[in-house]
Amino acid sequence: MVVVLWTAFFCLLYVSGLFALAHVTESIRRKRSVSIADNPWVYTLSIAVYCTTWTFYGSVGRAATRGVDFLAIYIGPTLIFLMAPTLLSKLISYCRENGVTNIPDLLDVLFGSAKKGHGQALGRIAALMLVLGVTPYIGLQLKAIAHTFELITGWQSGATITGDVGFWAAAFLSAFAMLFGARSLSPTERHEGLVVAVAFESAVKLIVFLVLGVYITWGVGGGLTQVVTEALADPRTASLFVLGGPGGSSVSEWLTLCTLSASAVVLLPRQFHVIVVENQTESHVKRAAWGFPLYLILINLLVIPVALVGVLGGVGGGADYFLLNIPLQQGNRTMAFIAFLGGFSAATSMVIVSSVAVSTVINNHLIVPSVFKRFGEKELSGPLLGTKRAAIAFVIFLGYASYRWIGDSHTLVSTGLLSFSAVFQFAPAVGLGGYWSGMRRRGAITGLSAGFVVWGYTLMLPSFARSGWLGTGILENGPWGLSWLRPEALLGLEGLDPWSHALVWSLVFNLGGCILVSLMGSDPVEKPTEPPLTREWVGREEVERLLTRFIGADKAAEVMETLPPNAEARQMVDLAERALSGAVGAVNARALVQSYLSWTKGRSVEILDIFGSVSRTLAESRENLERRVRELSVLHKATRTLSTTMDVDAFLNLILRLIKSEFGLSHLGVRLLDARGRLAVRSSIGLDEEYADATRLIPSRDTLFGRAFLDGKPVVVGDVKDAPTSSHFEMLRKLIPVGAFIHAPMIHERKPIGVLMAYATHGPVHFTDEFVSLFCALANQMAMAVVNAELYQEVRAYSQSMEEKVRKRTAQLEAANDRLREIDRLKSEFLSTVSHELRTPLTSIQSFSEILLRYDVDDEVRRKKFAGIIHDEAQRLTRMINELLDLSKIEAGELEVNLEPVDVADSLGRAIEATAPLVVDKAVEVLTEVEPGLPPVLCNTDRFQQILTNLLGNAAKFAPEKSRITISVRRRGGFALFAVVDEGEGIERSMLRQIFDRYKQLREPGKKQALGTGLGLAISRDLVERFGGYIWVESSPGEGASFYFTMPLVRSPEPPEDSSSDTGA
Amino acid sequence: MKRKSQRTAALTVLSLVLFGPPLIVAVNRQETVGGWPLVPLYIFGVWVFVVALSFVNDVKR
Repeated sequence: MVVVLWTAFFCLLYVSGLFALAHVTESIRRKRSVSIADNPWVYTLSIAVYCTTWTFYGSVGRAATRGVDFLAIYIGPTLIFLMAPTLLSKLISYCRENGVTNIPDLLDVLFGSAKKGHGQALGRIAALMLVLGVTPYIGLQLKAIAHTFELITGWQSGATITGDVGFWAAAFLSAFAMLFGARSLSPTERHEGLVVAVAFESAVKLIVFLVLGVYITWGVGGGLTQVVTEALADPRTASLFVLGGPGGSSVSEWLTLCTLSASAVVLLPRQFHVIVVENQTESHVKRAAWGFPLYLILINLLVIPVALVGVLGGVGGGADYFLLNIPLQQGNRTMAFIAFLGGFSAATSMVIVSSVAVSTVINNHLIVPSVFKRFGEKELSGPLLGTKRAAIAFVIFLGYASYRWIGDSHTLVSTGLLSFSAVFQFAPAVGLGGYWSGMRRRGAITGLSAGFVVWGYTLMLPSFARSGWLGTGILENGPWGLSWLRPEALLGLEGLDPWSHALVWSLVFNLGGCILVSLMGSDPVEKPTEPPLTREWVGREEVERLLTRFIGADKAAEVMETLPPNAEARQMVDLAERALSGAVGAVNARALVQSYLSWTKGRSVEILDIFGSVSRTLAESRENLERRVRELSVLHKATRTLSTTMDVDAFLNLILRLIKSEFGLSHLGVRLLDARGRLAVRSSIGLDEEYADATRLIPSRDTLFGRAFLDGKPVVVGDVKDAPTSSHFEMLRKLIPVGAFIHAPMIHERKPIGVLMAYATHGPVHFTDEFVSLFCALANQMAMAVVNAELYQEVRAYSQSMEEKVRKRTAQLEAANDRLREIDRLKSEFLSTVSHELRTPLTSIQSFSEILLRYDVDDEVRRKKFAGIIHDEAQRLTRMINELLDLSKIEAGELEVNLEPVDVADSLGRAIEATAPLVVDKAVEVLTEVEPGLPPVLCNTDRFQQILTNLLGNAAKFAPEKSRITISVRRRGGFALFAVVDEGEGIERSMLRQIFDRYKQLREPGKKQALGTGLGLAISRDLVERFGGYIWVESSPGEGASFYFTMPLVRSPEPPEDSSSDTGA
Repeated sequence: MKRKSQRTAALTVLSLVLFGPPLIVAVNRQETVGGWPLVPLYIFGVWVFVVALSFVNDVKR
């Protein structure tokens, strides 16, 4: 009893250890995101769940009874794993892509989507087959646990269930599997804690077996060589060294076992689970490709020696339990216990993984399809987890039940092979489905069903018959006496072992059904392309909600995170399907998603809502567009305004008004740099003048507009509460209820020239980025316009001044031209006058000289008179010609004058003398008044004489008869002032200036022709000016004329010459 | 990679030949080689051999 308790305690301890290991693994995974399971050796060892108690105990049993052909059970998997890098990788990636977590899923996915009606049939058949095929295998493990427990403790299981070790084992294993195999409905259906625990158990069973093998072979059997030698010599064992044992149909069974095991190592639910579902990366498969066969070699290495030792030693209690019975026989309880532990490991790991895997199948294919329609919209992850846990317990206890009912009739190996044969039925469908595109769903169903039936008839039925449920008569005579229907010799096929027999017939019917029915079917209908799903139909939230219902909020969120943010609807649906298929199976997942989508489509209200929101978005975007267009049109209008007017103030005002009307900004202003470098308000709307005056400031950071100006960036304040305060701004706020404002620098060629300011008074405003950039563009446009306008003003002013200058110059030129023309006219007039004047004396001279020549003028007096006239006229002519010469000289600037001191009185006397003839004729009296002590003047004697003569002659000409001509000389500073005064008719005021002009002649009163050349006064003026003096005339009509001129006196005082005065002529 | 899968295929074929008929029939005799029974020796020998090749295939690039 103590042993029982201790053993039970150790078993519990061991299972608790597994719990702990699984728990630690999962908590490490959660906390550090490090997975212990993500290791190729863990993966490889977990695959070794293949080696159950059947391997641990059963191999020895089969080796002891049937020889080496048990190795076929491990050669088959070896062959499969040699192909692992290609075959298994392909399978794994296919299943991963389609969210396949078990064989029925795989079949479902392989043979098309679930249509209504027969959609679930294939999965259900497959699921049923799995449950039926695997349950006895689980029972087998429980049986092994119970039996070995009894062996080691001597405990006798009673008839009651509570006294049955197997029952308690089932209970504990159920608990473990429910806890770690159905922790949550994960999208990947991975259970890392479970995997690590299983891998650990695989290691345990390998080590234990090797330890026991070494102990038995060397410790009990006396060494390998001795055991083999003895065995070869012993007839009981000698035949065990060949296939098929004594007289067995060796090769066929070998091949059958190879084939069955090869398929089973992948298709058994637990194998499929650890190989496909729990696979983390492809590289693990490569390690397992040789790692798992190596494990198989190691665990089988000492099976034969142990079996031989058992047989040779005549150990009782059945060959299956040599591993326990040999140490027990030796009295080595420790070794026996260790062996028990190894077997326990093998059994528990198998039960746990199998139950989890089968429960998934049950859940996905038997429970979910029939009940999920009734779930409505409730959260399903809880109920689904519940059914899954229930399924685990169900499977384990079903196994327990099968072992209770079927009893001990079967060896470990045969029960195991029963399962192998069952799962082999999936091989044709899976294999063909993977490689033959012509395979049809209907064919798969047919083949699978046929194979299932054949399996049941040829293997299950005999098994039931032998366990006493049915009479063995059916085996011997066939049902209803039909011998060709004998289950173990179907259609008369005899001479084969039952496994080969079942394999042949199930293969024939299964494969045949698959191919035949598939071929009977029509060509595959082109898969209708699925209609594109729009985002409106499938929202992220909907998908997440759907996932949440089945796998819980956390996992759903986790899954959704893997989705790119702008995922297509199709992507989302696929993801949802994949994630759900882990939880409920691929087909269910698809059906779920489809029904969910159609349900969504049916909700017209939501759709209307969607359309509503779509049109709302459209409306919004139209509004946006309109706003944008308005903004741009403002810019356009402003630009046009700027290009049409060059008056700065006018266009600034125009644009401000434009901004006001278009954007509703009520208070606006433009500040420009003035001549003194201050930002002065140049134009404004709604801004106070006082404020404008007060804020005419040099730009600084103290003012908001200054800041915009200096930084060259707009200052945008949507809510004045956020605005940095300044005294000026406060001042403005007192005047205007500013709610928001924007200051944009007016930048021209990277140089700010001013600030455009806008204030909104209706509370806070959201200035969009577009608006701000538009506002800035506007400000810059204005800046450019201002600069242009200023340039234009400058240019205009300049051109105006230029025009003025041109006009003046033109006037000057015109005047000069007039003058020239006048001079020209005068010249020609002068020429005619002069020629006339010249002709007069010439005519006189000619006529008087003719008289003298032709007529004899004998009268002396007359002759003299005539000669005198000729002489006078010649003199007059000479004088005139001299004047002309002088004039031309003066005009040419060739007149040379030598300055010398000239005595005034002398020159005056000579001049009076020269003009005497003119005066005498008219009886004009010439008076002279010379200031006494007058020094000589500085000039040329001859020219001075000429001046005086000219003036005197002129006065004489105009002087009336018996009048007086007065010549006076006075000293005026350094000059002598000469005055020649006559008593003639005087000169018209208008003539006063012209009188000194050349070619201007004064007409003698009563005479049309002027006297003389008229050049006298002009020459006189030129000469006077030449000597540094000045000449002018004073006169008024009727009062005579007074000619004055000045002449410089000689500076050095010379002794005054007592020149006479009062010289009468 | 291509070479690797070719080696895998070749290895599979080799294993099938070595473990399958007619070779397995040929060696299935009650004989000993150096005191060791032929069949287990052959099976384990071939087994170790192919697993070793598989290992080499995995390790080799």
